[in-house]
Amino acid sequence: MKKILILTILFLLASLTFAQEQAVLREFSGKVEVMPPGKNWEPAARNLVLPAGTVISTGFNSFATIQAGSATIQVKPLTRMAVSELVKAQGEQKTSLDLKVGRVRAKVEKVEGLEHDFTLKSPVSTAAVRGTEFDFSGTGLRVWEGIVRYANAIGQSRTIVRGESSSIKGLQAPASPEEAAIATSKTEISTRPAGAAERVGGKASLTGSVKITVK
Amino acid sequence: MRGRILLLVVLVGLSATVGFAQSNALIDQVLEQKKVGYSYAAYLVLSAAGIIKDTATPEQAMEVLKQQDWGIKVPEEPTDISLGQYAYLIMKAFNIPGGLMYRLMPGSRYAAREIAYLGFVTENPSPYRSISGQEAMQILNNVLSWKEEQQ
Amino acid sequence: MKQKTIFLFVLLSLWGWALYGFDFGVNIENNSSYSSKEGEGFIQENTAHLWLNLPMGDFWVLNASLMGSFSNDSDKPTFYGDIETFSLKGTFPHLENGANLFSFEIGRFFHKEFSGFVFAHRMDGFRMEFGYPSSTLQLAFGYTGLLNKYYTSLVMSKLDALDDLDKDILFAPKRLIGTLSWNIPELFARQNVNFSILVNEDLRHLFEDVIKEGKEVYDPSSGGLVDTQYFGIGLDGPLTSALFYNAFFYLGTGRMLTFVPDSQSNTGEAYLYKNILAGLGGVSFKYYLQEFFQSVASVQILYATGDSDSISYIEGNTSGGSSLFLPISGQTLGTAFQPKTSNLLAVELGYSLKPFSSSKGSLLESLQAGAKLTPFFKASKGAMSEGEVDPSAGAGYLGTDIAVYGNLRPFSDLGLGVAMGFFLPNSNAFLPGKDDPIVYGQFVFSFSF
Repeated sequence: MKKILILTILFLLASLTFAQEQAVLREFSGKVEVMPPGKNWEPAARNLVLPAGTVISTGFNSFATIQAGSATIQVKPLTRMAVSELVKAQGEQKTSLDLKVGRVRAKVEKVEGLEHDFTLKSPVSTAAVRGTEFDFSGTGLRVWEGIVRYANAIGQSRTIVRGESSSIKGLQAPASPEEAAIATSKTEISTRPAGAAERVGGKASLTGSVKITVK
Repeated sequence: MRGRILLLVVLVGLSATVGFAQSNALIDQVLEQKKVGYSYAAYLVLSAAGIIKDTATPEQAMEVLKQQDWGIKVPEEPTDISLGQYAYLIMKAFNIPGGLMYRLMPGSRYAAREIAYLGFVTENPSPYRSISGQEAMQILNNVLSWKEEQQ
Repeated sequence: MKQKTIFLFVLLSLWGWALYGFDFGVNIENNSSYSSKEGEGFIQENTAHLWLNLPMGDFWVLNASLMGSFSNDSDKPTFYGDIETFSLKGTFPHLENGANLFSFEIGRFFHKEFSGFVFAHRMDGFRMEFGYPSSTLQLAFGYTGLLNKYYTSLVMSKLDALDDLDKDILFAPKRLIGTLSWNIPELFARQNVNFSILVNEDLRHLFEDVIKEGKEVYDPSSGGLVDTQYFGIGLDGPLTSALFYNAFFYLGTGRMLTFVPDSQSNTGEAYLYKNILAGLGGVSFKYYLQEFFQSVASVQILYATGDSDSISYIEGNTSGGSSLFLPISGQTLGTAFQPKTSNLLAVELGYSLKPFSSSKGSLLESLQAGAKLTPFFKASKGAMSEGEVDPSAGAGYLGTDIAVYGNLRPFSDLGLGVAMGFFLPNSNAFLPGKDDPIVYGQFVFSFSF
């Protein structure tokens, strides 16, 4: 009996130090559905718990807001995103989301004493976040607050800070913030299609991932 | 009486659920297509533009497309859609004015040029190539994002 | 019959495979300019480009572009054309552990080093790029002797200059260009570092007679070889989210044929190859105020060493080594006055804005209007690329170039540009009778279909 009690206490202690973190669907509008692991699509509901493996889908003109620890993710219309990993240990939280298609705005708050490893996966790019708010669509990034580490599938990266934006085309390295600024402030007279004389070869498939780390 | 009302409520609820599930199942199919079908592309664009409801089917989307006065020769048989054709659907559905050549000779070639210029396409902007379902969705997302900024 | 069928089938399959995702188009550009500078006047150049882009499978792409021009410039034929680009490029990503990207391009392509002030030109050759997470290494070799000279700007030696004036000579100077560059983005504090080595080898002597070292009689109708090497370092990055800077330095070395006093010569003078040791440096700051009509304020300072012994820009060294910086072919500053980056100090102040940027959907939304003010100075006594400048004048103020411009892209396939420039010279720095102010106007039109 004593042994069972000790084992139970130890198990509980272990659970406390390494617990599954929860993602919760806080709000939504329009047509939003979720597909829990091993199940079919079902309509969203307020405060619905989203375990790891859940896929969220927003329809046309539809939005959803997800809370995952210190991260708030606004899922924009026509977006398909999966909750890959949600783990919280002592002083550490790991959130991994898989953006298959679409756009999200993510806000990751800095919490003292908590290191949040926030991972956003996309087919073509990577961003690392440190207490920030940003718009991310897989090929484009705009940072509203904080710092984001943005990299392509090969791992070539740039640090994008508040007020800056960047983009990734195919296998090219992320555009520097100045390139993004030039694109909006300069009018190009030449009408030759971009890269008409020089285009990145073919359509080599990309299987890289986006990694956003909040520290 | 109460039983019949209850049955009606259940049936309506179920049909709404079915409608919900239908649109996502469609999106699932689109995302899996390496070459997105014309009818699926039409469904995506017309739904995003609010011309049809997202509970419609691709076949219904094609019927609605035939009724639009867009000068499109809607294919009768199932076929893939090219980037140029998809671009033209987008230009028409979202009333994007286009460049000089598009205004003079509206069609898939200059529609593709326009969406490349507007930054909706990040891969090869050739109007003659096919597109995957994933790319079609991403292009549409870029269009919606651009539309938001214009307003 | 069977063989023909198989052959036709294979050919059609290849053609079908090659046609996947192909694209083509035509671009027409008109460049009309007027300059009050002696010998220039009104020049109009119309160029048509026919381009083709042909992806071949997942990794290869063929890029080809032809261009033809019609011009009223008396220094050029009325009609001339060239293959603008023709290259096969392969891109091979490796996304597993130790991700990297290798690309290889062969054919005719445009190539430039990181600053754009030393070499920015087309060439025939090959280019390899190795992309790693932390840096990119690029190696390129090319030959310029098959380019149509009317589309090039590669005049570095006296023979190059003579060929440039000879209408019977069609091709550009025969130079072998090799470049090795290493780009390290965000090496520290978001600063990007660039290293570059360029080699420019004059191959003229392989095809014709040139003046050999030791010749004791001066020959104004001929010249020698000009070989140069450049070693560059650059640093650029953001200082704030709206303020960016770019700084670079190039050390230029090489050799140039010089007719100098020679104690071992029977005439007391002889042609000798003298070393070149020169430098080019620049720094620029750009401030982007996107909230205020997408405006940009910029300041750019460029300094290139001169040679006090030089009597002319090309092979003009008269004593000892040469410290005149010689770019191969790069961009220049100024509008009405556009000297090459050689024996020069230029300070360019610029500002531009898009006054209708908030009028979404308007034809004027893309209008960019700007102004530039560029005072020029001679870095030292000696020659400059502009022959009107007095070589005997010492370092000092040359004059100021003032320009206003407007760029408009009312449609995706139509671009319009207009510029007006004035150069107000300092008479003391120019040869007598060559110190008139210069008025310059330019209109550019670009259309694609």
